[in-house]
Amino acid sequence: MAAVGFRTRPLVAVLSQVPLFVEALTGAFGEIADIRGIDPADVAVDGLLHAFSPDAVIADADVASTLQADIPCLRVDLRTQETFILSDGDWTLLPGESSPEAIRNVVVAQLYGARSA
Amino acid sequence: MTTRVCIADGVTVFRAGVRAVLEREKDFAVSDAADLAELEDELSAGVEIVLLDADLPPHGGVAAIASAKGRCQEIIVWSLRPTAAEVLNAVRAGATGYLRKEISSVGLVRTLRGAARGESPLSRDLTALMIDAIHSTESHARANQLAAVLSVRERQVLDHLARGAKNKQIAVALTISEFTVKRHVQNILQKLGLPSRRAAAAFYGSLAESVGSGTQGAV
Repeated sequence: MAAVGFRTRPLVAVLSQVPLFVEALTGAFGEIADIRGIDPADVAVDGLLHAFSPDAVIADADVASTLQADIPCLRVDLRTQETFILSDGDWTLLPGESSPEAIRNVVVAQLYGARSA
Repeated sequence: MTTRVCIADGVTVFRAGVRAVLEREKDFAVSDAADLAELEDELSAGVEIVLLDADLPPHGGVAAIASAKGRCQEIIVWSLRPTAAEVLNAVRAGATGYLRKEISSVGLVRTLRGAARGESPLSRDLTALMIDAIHSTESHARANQLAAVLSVRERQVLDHLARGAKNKQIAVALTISEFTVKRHVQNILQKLGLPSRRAAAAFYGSLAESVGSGTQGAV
């Protein structure tokens, strides 16, 4: 039996109850990464996140979640279009527009910048 | 037959998300607009359905409805977690439907196909919300009509009464006799058809709400 969870590309978990947000990111990431939408209201969301062990997490601003500090974590405010990155325990506002492509670029920079460090 | 849909939304993520969903379907042609000026251009080019953000820059979705009315078949307003007031205001302004932005991809496609057939998209829970808002508005309107029969002094007495003041306290505050306060209170209850001071306080609360923020209630 093939091993479940074998990845050929990064997995990005999107914590959001807005499916169209997940759609937009799926389109932007394309072949670069696999996007997994997770409902933050799921009773066992922490366990689910742990089980998936994503390489990065993107959440929308309405979600209160326990984001892991050791992987790239972004928070996107779907009303104001502001994007924040979790850095040393603090959320830092990123400059520029929060287009799906811009969000993708930040995540990719974090993933591949971290690997080359 | 292809239905032309314009996504008028200031938030790039939502324009991208809707486009990604609709471009997988063969019966939609998609355009988008980030603000009212771009929406005007798309309306001039011709669209059947406008999916309009309630916060479309620069003046909001309700203001944009005026531009779109009569120039497309359906104007569907959408927002995150809409309130009763938002839904009611949009429909009153001319929106033919209202959606939550939390809608699923399948739900969005189904809704837009229905809109193309002339169905008005309004989910059961948003319909219930709107009905509550209308009832609340009617209740406030009745309160305003009733309050119009009170004199200025009677309104002043009612204001104090609603805050729990006793007759003696009202008399001191308004520099009138306690006997006069009692007479005003009797007149207030009689004119408004209310049985007690407590009922008068509740009525005043309803009146204050209608003056303040209008309809209440979030989903």
